[in-house]
Amino acid sequence: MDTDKIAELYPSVPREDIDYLTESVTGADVAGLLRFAKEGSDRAVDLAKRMCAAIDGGTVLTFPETGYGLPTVCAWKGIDTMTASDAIAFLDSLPEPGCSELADGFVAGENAMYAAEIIESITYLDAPEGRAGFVPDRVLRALGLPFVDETIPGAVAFLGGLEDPDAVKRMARDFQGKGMVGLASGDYPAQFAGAGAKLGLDRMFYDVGCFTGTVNAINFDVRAALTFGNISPGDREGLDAYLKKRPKVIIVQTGPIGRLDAALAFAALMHHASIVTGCDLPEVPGALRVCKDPLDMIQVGIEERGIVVKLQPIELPVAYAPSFEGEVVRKPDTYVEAGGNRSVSYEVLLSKKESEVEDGKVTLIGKDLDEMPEGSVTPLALIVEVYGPTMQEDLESVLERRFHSSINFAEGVWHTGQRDNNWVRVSKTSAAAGFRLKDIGTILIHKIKEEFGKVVTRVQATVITDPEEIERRRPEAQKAYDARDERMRGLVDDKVDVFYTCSMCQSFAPEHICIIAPERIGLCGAINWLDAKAGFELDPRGPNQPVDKGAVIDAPKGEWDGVNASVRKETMGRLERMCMYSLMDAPMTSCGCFEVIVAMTVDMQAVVLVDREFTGMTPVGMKFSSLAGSIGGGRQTPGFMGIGKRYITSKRFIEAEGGIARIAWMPRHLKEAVGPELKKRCEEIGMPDLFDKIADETVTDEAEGLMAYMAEVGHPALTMDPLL
Amino acid sequence: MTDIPDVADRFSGAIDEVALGKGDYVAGGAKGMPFLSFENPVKRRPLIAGEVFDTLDGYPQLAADMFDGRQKDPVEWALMWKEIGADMICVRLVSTDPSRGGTPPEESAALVKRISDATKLPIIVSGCGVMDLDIPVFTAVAEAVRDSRLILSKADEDDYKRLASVAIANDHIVVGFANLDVNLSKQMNILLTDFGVDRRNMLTDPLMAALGMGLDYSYSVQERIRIAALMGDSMLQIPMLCDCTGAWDVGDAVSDEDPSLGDPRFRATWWEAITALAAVISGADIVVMRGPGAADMLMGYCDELRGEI
Repeated sequence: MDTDKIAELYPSVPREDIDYLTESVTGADVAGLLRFAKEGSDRAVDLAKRMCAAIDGGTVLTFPETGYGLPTVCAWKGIDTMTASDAIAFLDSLPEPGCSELADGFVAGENAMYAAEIIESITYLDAPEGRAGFVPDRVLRALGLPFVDETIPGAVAFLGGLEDPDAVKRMARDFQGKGMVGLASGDYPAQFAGAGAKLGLDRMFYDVGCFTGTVNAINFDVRAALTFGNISPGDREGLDAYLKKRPKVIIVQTGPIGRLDAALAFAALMHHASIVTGCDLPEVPGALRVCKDPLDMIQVGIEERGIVVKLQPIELPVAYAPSFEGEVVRKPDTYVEAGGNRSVSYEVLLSKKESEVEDGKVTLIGKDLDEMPEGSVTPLALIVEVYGPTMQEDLESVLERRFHSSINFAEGVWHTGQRDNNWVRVSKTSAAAGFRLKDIGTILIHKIKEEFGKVVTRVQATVITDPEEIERRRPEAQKAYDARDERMRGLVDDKVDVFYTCSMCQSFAPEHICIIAPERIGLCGAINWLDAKAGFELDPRGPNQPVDKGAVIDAPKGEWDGVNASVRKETMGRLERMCMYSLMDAPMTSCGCFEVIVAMTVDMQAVVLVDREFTGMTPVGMKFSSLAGSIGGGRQTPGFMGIGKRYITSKRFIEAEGGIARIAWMPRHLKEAVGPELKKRCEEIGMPDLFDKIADETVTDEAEGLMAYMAEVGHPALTMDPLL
Repeated sequence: MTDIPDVADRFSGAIDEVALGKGDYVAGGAKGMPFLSFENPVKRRPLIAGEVFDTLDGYPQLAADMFDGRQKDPVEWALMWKEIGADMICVRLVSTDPSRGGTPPEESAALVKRISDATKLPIIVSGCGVMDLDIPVFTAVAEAVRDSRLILSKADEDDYKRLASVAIANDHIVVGFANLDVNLSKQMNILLTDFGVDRRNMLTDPLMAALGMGLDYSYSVQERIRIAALMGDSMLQIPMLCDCTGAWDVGDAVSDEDPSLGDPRFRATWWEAITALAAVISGADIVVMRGPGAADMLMGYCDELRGEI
């Protein structure tokens, strides 16, 4: 920054001090940065002492309209009143910073912070009324609760300056659009004002001043903690714990960095701010990031500090609600459609690198609906690209699966299928209301951020109707599908170290616990291993917790000591063990949501399967409803168990008891539903005729009838050991 | 002679203790199920809070008639509760709603301060139910009453940060509300803890449904919460607050249409007392009561169950 201007604003500060403290570099290694900060800090402390000595020793040092004296001194040292002569003694008592490790930087930063605040308060003594800089308590109080309850998601402090007025303007629009507080120092206040952004105490955008004024951003932050955190002054531990959580502050530093700013940057780190700098400095995860694109700095800072920006409500020309999910758009009502074997159509969600995704960007390539005649069939590609620091490729399919309901929520828009066999229709009414294909992109971005905002911080969508572009991008989608299929094939229990719990149903079945493995879907059929994994990523304290399998106790039964430990913990010690692949020995409990019940037959040779939709009698003498009543509620009932439909065709289906060879009966429609997969499994186990040996209700619904039929067809279960 | 079998459950967990008011009242601390003194060496009686409104607009006449006219001044009303034997006062600031007078936050704060000073009892403050209106009121109240640890009621899963922030800023207590769901109660306690609320500043409200309105559900949920807490689930070891005044919203409890059902004054009193009885034997540490007769009956029940009569 222009030192003449600083000299003008700080007449009592000797020019050589200003020059030394603002002398700047554009890059440094760790050692260089530490040395630079130490030099800035030592000089600031020295300057502060000289300035204190130059005024009446009894002068009380403070700021206009505050009850915290020198707020950083008050907060961290518990000293609420300080005179000029106290200040000299105080500054003398500060530890001398070294410059060899990060901890030294913090010492330098803390010293510089106190010194800067002391200098700043002295220059306030004869400053003109209304001088920019210190934000009075009353403003902070008015702002305070929304600031700490995260209605205001966080604050951005701008440090340094940026010559490009257009970029400055866009930065202002960016953080203000996110509802954040702005604190501008250095050249920034003038540059923001020059670019047309209005600063002011009533605009949540403050000019904290330049030079030592940068400390006003810090004392703003620390006072919020003192006021709203109920932290006692001097309680360093309490203050640190509070600041770790909030207020969430990011620092955007552009241009060369001076000695004083370098030292104060360490003070900001001590307040758990995240710094994004344009200088070539060593990166520190969670604290210091280098970003060369000024327009990306705020977003990087937001991700770094874990700030959650509230989404604006979605704006569409048609209604948008879950109530439209089931709405069907029929052919005569269709304005335009894509897919459904009428045209090429695919949808895909891909995780990308940070730099490849611009948050919120919707692109349309090709014609939109209003350029197509009514009744058109168009090719379509819906490509959503996401980035998030904790995003994993495994979660792509989980997110992509939400396309379906997200699109269907829009009135007059219908979606079915997935991947490259989807089918989309937009109704004439919705087209007339102004709905465009590009809006699908807006919807997808919005819903994915809403539901998965903890995992993905940037989402962009591309809607393509241009046939060439659709073909050009297709291989990438195909590659993703193939990779996922490959992964799913390889996703077997033996290949993972972690299973997941699902305790969602404990609200009504408090003693039940699901253990979800790649080869055993949750008994409700709704949550597979990947979903559970995503659930854990999204809510680390939620109902899906990772379970370290631990050492194997009995492989065929699927018993591991880690699973047992988790089951013990989750059932408060009521259950000691659980065997993942056994119906007879410590089987998994059931809540009540199971899709299918596995029940031992009367002769104890085989099992019957019955699903929720089947209301008739079964050969075990009970209907689904009575069976459900006797196995639900979290009990371990050997011989009876609730499962998800897909578990039937898993290789791990009651493996301990002989697997699918035990199945003697299932309702016809269930047999049809799992037919192709089940036939495949029959072949895999070398019993291709097993499928036809499984009876259904058209054969019998009685125990004797089933036994007779099994004998007649020579069911393999008859030759096995009895279950009990 | 046969030995009497020992049926006591031995729990490893204990309910937290939360100091209220000026620290002279404590909720929680149980080490076993309520009133089972052979399991629960901490024989603390549940605290009874008497309900007071800042306006009688909308308050049932049937209940108003039970306070000898002293309900017309909220401070007098609160003092009457103290004379009856209430341990706490629950002040409902509903006139802050513009449709019920739009009392400014400072006035509400002054009222709570007067009640606190006059009764010297711990105070539960509840609002009109619209968080946007309630937050400024809670803020003013929290700042006005600094010599007593208030209970601010209530924060739910969708909107808890604002109320929690008010509580944190002034070292008051915040109530986490969940709608009849063990998991949600636990989740609420986790959310508040994660947000930075100290455990000594938290209560849990699992929604006490009145007799005829699903009391059985509440009973089960509360009992489950309590058992899980005693078995060691630390995120459920937060003392429980049950609002039993819902009994007065049950048509059958207060209706005077059918004379064969007897005097509604007695019926409503019984109704609320039975609701409260279910609350305290399923684990409530604090109960909020509307009727003085019902509160009196509840005190009697508690004394009997504690073997003091």
